[in-house]
Amino acid sequence: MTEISTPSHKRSRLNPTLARYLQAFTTPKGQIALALIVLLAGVALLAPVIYPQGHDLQTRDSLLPVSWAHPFGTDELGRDILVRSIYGLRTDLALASVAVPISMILGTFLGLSGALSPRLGVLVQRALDIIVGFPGLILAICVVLVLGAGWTALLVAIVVGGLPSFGRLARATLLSQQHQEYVIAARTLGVDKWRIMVRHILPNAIDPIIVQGAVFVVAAVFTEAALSIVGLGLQPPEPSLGILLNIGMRYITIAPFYILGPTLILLLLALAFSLLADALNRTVNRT
Amino acid sequence: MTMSVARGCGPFRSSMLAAGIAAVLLGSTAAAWAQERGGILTVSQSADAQPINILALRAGNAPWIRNVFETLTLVDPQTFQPQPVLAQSWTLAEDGLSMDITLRDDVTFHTGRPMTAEDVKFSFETAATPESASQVGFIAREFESIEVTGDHSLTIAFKRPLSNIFDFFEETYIIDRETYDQREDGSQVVGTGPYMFSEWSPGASIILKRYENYRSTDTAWFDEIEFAVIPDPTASIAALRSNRTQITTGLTPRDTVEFIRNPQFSVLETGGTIYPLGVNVTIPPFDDKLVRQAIAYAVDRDRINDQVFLGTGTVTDLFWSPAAPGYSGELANHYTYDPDRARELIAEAGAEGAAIPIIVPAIPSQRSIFEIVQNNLREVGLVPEAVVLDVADFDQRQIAGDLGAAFLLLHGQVGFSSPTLLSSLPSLRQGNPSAFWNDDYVALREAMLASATPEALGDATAALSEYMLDEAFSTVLVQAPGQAVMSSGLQGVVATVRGQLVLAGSYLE
Amino acid sequence: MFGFLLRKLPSVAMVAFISSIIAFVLPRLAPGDPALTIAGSDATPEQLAAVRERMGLLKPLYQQYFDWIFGMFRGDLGESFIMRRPVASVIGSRLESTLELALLAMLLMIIIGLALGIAAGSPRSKWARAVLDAMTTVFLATPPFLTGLLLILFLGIFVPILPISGEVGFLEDPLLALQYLILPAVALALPQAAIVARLLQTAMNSARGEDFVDLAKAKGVPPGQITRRHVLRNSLGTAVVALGLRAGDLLAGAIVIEAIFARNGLGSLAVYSVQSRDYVVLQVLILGAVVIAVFIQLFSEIILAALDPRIRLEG
Repeated sequence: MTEISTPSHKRSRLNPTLARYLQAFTTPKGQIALALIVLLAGVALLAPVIYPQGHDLQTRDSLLPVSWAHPFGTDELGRDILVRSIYGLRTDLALASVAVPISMILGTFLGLSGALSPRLGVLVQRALDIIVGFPGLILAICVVLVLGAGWTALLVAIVVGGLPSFGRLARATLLSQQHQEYVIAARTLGVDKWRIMVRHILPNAIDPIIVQGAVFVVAAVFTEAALSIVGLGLQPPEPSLGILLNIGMRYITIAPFYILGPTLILLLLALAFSLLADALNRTVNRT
Repeated sequence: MTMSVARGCGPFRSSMLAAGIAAVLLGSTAAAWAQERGGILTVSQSADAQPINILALRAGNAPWIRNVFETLTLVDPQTFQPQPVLAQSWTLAEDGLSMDITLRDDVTFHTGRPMTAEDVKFSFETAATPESASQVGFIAREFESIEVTGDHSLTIAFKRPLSNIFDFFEETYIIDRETYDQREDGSQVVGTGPYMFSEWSPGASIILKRYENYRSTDTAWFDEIEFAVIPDPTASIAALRSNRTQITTGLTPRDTVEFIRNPQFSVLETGGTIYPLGVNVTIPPFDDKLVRQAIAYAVDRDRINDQVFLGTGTVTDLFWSPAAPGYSGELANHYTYDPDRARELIAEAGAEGAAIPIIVPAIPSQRSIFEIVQNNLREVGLVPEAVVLDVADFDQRQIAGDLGAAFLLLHGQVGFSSPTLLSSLPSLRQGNPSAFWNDDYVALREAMLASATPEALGDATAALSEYMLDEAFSTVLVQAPGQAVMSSGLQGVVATVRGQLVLAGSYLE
Repeated sequence: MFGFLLRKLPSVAMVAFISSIIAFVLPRLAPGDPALTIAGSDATPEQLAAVRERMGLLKPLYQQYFDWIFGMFRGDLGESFIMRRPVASVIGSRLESTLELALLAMLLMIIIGLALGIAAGSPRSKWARAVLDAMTTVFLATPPFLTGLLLILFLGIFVPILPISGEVGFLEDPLLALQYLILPAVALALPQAAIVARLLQTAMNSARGEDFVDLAKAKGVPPGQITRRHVLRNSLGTAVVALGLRAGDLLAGAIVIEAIFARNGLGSLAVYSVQSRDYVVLQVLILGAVVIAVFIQLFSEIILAALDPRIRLEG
């Protein structure tokens, strides 16, 4: 990793990296995580095939109790809660799969920006401190208010919320690496700063960031749920796990199974990505 | 549909309620209840108090304000006839252009100062200013003059006959001109009622204490009434069940359903809300009357009432109270759920597949209503999309009359007379978000505002209703009452037509 | 370290200054203003304009900003637009609820975290280890709001033994207050406790590899005593640091937990201030939170530098 690699080395270096991450799935935790993620993502992707009638099939049967036809009962407008939960999962996974990579890449870059200019690095770090300091949801709520409730606002809120954690990890690597001999050597040799950042520092930062990415999926879903609780989530009739929780909370004494469905799905989702993060963490630390 | 109308009359008729009000109003007849004084009553409410807004009705003030403040008159919820409170009597001039009012001479403010006609004048003039935000302030702007003719008498001259003058009296509390400026932080909220405003902890509670020098001693049985601010319905229900509170206000029908058949609790209706679906007549496809009518046919109002309001609401096409002159079942059911007819009209207008953005405030009941409306409109070949706005954003645009092509509104103004609604409802007044204002409409409105007798008002209301239904610029979906739940040991609690709680005569068995 | 702090001072002041601008501007970018909450949705445009004028919202923005900043230097945080009370007293009245929740959660975090961590860091059978590991993994994975919902369902609805929403002041009725506090506090504490347990476990495992442990073993000290006397004592430092850092996260998690359990603390005040556009309350809450976070961040940089000599403290 210390030598300056030429393009021909690139392919041979990338593959082992990928293989290293894949090794995570050989551990028991990794296998459980893989099984859960395949299950959840599979159900979410296939939802329109399994339930071709869609998630907005309203009937006059409001708040039916649990039955074989409706494993979690029906909602206030007579729609099957299981179907809505699965479509909700689909919404949340779609949101996370767009927002998490964006936040990850942007956050990492911001964290490493200190390699271009130490002053910029400190400035970015302070900016991220401000984001961290915003009390919990308030930043997300403000973002949604300014942009108007909907998919875009939710996306921006999640991306911004994730920047500090990725930025901090990248910066920690930068701080520990920038005084290493090979970096100092590269700098004295006049290697381009961008090149130092991408070629030397980034590879050292990538492991913890990938692990954090898995953790952040849960945080992204959490942001969606929390915004929905305040009533600023997605637009109806699109269900999301957060919206189901929000409405279900109001029927908690009459129809407790209303929130049980989405809660269990969220729990599985959280567990899956946390196990994945664990497995990845262990694998990258072993090698 | 006929069934729902018959049921719909229920919410606005309650003999127990009327008897209670009469008892409070007449004061002395309550002697039959040999009550003991003492104890604390705790009421929960979902919104915080706004002492700054004494003259504008606010959800956070409705539970307590009528126990601290009084008005000249109070409308009997059954007969809709005004009953005297602070006014002893009134005489309307033959030409309908002035009114002589005689006040009680034994009324004092909580500061101990006797109330005089000057205070009434001050209260009316304050209500007329825009910063009071009074919903009935526009009526006071029709006053030519207010002349104080004695310590306890005054004469109001009108610019024109005001058939809704009692709506103004009903909503305009008599305020103390010496302390009104210091009300905002709750330190000096001074009225003439049986309870004094003693303490306000923002976001937590309001505490009232008995006013010992009240003119009648047969009232105010509790030493203290605490209004706990509990925004979460589950928490306020839990508080009621554990007897931490004895009355819970601000619940939705979904929350109260479990109490309806429970003998330990009783449910009281408190005012109500009108839920219209409006469209802007200048924005295609709604510039075509046929599309507007199609929408009125397409929406399944009964399902909205059953699933969102659990059948507690009144399914109607009209803004007026079912007890109002000129209200008829025929008009109220002008549009019934008829998707086939809606499709035909849309086809005739050539509006199939039109995309319709509908602005919805981020309020749970509105979201549910929207989901049903969306489902209904899709069924008839339109493509509705929700634009959910935060409540502050929504309010701002409603006030400015700028809500885009279509919008779901809610007006908590059940209990006003029809002429008042005409000017106070954002959906109907000048500058409405439907951008509907033309000579025919103005002429019909003027006829209604000018009617001096109930018969004339009835005819004018029917004529205007027919016109409005045909134009279909704002379609009422349902009128639903507010609900309060109380433990059944509590007697003598009364709600006014506008939904404020009157607790002076209440006591625990 | 004091030199480091001194060098940090300008940058902390800068962050505070920028945050104050953001805290001032961001809420005002959202459509609507506090006059709407006062004027109400049925108001006419003239009424709204009159209320705005009266509330001082028509003053130029820069003037409102400087009024606020200079007020703060005099110890005056400003006055709530909606409640017409000093912001300090508005915040003060909500502080108790959040503090009670945070303190109990912190207590639970320490107890559960240490118990789990010590249990997992001591020699155990393979099975016990697997169970403990699974527990920490599940706790770690589940965000507080999810734990909260599950607790509500199982301990409040299916087996109704604890109240699920609302609160009672601790000074009013300590026993009842505790009943209302326990579920939200557990929900808030579990994920944090799991983090503490993980760190402690790792520290204990590495301490176990040190020479002095081998020496003790060679001297025939019983395993329980080795864990207590040698391993734990040398690992607690890490745990204490972790606990301190986690305290900040507890406060952040309180917003959603307060919403779910219908508690009336700072979190719900913040949400209410956003909804009613009570800018003055909101900007104080935001600025306060940012400043606290910056200090926690500084603190963690110092600790990390002490732990890892490769990291240099930059000015």
